[in-house]
Amino acid sequence: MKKNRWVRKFCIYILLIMYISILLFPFIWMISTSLKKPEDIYTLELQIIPIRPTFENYIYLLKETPYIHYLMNSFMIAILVAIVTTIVISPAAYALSRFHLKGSKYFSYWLTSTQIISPSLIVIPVYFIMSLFGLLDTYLALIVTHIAFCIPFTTWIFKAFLDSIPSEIEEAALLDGCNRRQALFKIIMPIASPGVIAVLIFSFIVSWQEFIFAVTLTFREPMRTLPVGMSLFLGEYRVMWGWIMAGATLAILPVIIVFLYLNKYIIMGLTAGAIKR
Amino acid sequence: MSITKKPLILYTYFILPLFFTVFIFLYPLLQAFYLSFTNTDLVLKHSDFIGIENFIKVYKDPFFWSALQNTLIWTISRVILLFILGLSLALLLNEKIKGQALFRTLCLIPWAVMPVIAALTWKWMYAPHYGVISIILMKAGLITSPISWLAEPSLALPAVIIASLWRDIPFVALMFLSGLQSIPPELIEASLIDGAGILQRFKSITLPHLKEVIIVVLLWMTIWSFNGFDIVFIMTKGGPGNATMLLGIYTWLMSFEWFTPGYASAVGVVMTLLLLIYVIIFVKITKIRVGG
Repeated sequence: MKKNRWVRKFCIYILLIMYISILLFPFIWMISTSLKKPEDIYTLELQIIPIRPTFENYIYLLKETPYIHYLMNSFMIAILVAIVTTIVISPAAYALSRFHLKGSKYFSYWLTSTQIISPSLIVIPVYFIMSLFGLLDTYLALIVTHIAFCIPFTTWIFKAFLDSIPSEIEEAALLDGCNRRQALFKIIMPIASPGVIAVLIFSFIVSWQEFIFAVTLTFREPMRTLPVGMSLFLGEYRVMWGWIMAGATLAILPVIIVFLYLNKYIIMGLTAGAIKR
Repeated sequence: MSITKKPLILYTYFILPLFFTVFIFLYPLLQAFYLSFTNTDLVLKHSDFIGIENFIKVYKDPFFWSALQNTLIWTISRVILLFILGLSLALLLNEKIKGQALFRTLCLIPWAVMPVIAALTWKWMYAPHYGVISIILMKAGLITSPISWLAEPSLALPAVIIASLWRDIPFVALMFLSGLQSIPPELIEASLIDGAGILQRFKSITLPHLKEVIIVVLLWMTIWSFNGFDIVFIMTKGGPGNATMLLGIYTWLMSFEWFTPGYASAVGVVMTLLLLIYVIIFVKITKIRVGG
């Protein structure tokens, strides 16, 4: 019996390692390419670890391309989107969680249906609307758009999260003499802070990676976000894969690091939404 | 979870969320609908109401039908593969082994990668002459010279499908994992005592418990796949020829590269309607709760 279990565990390890190797290989290859000289990139040899590692791709990328600028644009937009989204949805999610409001069913249906609409379809009129307001090529256009995109999912996540906090806590606080606002800030917020963090992270990530609206609503170089800028590297700069991979690595390394630290919150946020739905 | 007093102020909490979503989703949707009945053309500079002419044009448009076919192949392959690969990964990650947390975190890394970055990385891996996928296959003796995956009409669609799976498998696995973790361990214990084999355990305990998660995952994966845009756009922009032209890309190109937003909106409306019909049928059959 024991031998069987041992064999089983062994098989599971092997399978997991295989899966993870395949899943992580593109990621590793990306970093590897970014650290190679052109001779080692454009070769038929398989160098997973660069023989002659170099930072020249990074240096070139940061000095000769607007990469940093693109990064800053994306970052600023994403932060604003994260903060504003959290402020916008938290009260609504709280209301949905704690009260049975008339019409909340329709509100939920509405949020769900926004996810079915194809972005390719609404990007066309949004372009015209932004053009009308003179908002093409501005941060505001993207910020507003991204917030709208984040609202449905984050409302669900936060509501599901709040659902898991028993309302008895607020009731107890009310009985103790707090009014509702005090109860909200002093008691609920601290307990709900993991949910708030999950919403912040989620909105940030959605905005950071958003592509179709960014590529449609902005064109001038100073206004480009990172996804748009990087996609244009393919055309504007004679496909220098070393630089592109360097840019790719720089773009996601911070995310990975944050990810590894805040792993807990992200998984909590994702799974809370999934099960409740 | 209801507290007795319902102050009216609660309804004001919904004003902001509604404002944003109406501004970006509802009003544009209605305007797109309107546009689809016009011949708006930004180059020829006219915009007249032409009734259902656009929709007839869509019906007769061979590019529309090939885009629809591509999109269906794309969607169905992705959903099936995501299901199989995601579920198997989730089962593996569910096992109580040393390093479980590490494995889970490592598996999630592809999901943290931006779609644009994933597209660029895979485009590099598929590159003609020096792409690492060709190199590996050559070293394994399976092919004799590098293949230009994204330039071969017959290979391009499978190639982008695989690239797109990379990011999504961890996400799907995570969804299934959370479902697997809700299975009470006593049930599994009991079945082991009863002498159930692995397959039987899977069929009678695991699958039923996962039913709700599976349905939700299936629905959203289908929706997101059908509306797929980012990765394919960056990797091939619909090419070579029309081999990887998805409906979303076709709509976008029609509007922003061929400057006929009227016709583009018609394509987009048809696309959204098809998806809507699917969702309605799916919800009716599976009777899941939609929203909230």
